[in-house]
Amino acid sequence: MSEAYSLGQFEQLVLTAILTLRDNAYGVTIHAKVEDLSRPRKAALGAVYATLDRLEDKGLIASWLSDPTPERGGRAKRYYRLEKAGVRALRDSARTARRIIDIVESWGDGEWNFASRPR
Amino acid sequence: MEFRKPPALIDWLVTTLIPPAQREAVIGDLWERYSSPMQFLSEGVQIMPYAVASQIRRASSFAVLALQGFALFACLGGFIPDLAGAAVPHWARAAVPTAAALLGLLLLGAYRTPSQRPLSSGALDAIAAAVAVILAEAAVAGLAAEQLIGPGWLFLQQGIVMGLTALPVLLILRVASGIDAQSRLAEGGVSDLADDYTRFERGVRWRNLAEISACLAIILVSVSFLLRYNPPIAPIAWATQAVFAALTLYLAIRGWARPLPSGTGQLRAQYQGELARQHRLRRVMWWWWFAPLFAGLGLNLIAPGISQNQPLRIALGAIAALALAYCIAKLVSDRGRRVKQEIGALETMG
Repeated sequence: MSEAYSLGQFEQLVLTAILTLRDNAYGVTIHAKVEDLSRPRKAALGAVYATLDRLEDKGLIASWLSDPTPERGGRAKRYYRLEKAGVRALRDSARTARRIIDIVESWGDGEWNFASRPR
Repeated sequence: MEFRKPPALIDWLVTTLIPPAQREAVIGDLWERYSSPMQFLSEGVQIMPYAVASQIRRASSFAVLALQGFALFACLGGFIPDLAGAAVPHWARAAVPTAAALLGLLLLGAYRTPSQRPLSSGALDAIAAAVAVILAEAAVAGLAAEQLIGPGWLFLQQGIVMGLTALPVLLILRVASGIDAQSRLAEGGVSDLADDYTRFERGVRWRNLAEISACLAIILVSVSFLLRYNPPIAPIAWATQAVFAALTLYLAIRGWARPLPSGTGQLRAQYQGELARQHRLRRVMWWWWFAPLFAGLGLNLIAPGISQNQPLRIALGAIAALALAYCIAKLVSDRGRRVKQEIGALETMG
């Protein structure tokens, strides 16, 4: 089995957005979901498009154009879906994140107070 | 039902800013998010750098761009040895317009329409590079007039004439990188093989004409240059022109695809054979287009480096020649892979 692609944090957010949006994953909804996932930080719409292009070139997602609609000035939506390689890469990232969360949660709150520690 | 929509002028402006390959989805999304003209304009302007950068990454071939840079830099005299006491080295003088032209070519690549024909793309590449070089030279002339830089940064007439020889090479680089049968795989199958072959044959005809014209243009400019300036490398340059003339003749006789035969079995075999033959022909031509550059590197960097015992110059020449060979080999292998896919697709067709 080939090694899964190592995802950056923003790529993980975009893939998670596509995963949760299922059949309604296109530019506007993906951006809204990414902003929701990354709050309080804002996400640039252009960065979402650039990431979608990159993920598609790597074969992690696939896209297709829908029929044009009047509220979009007669333009089509570009829908996205996860490919198998994308699901695998996202799962790997989630496992890594889970390990980090487990370690962080095993620390007590007081352990984080570095400033009060004697040097 | 009436939808809120952006003013026509702002819509046109934003649509123009976004690369054509991404317009459909991006502008549609912006329409859907529309709340005010300023919001629409501001989002469009903010998206543009991302969209352009992404499109440059997707549409640009490193090998093509590197060869374009090589051709421009060499034709603008970047590899010519400097005379003692020269105010500005040749490489520095050539680097400015070359960088400007490469920037122009990158932007042009991002804004290229997906359906644009290779011949139009090649012609636009040559025009964009020429305009970028002229603009860069105008800027240099302006700075020199203001005495911010020395007059040594400006090109001599000789440099401009030689720079012209880069334009046919730029045209050919784009035209010949296509395989004349791209639409078939993109559409996922051929309903009518004869129509497809006719399209392929037409594509080959136009490319061959473009290549013959480019060869003739190079011969014309080079011969004028040789007659006018009679440089020290004239004997080699005349020999190169003779080979260019022979190749032009060969292309004129054997460069075309054979006409449509009768019978599907025969047509498929001919189609596959022609794809392979055209690729072999292009492979030879591509190495030949850059043969004068290899000669230039040898004469201007490696040979003087050996005679004057300058290891750095020898190393630079060798590295440049290797990089040039790598780019050509990469371009040939990329094209070869696509041709193989085409031939394989023809084999599996019912």
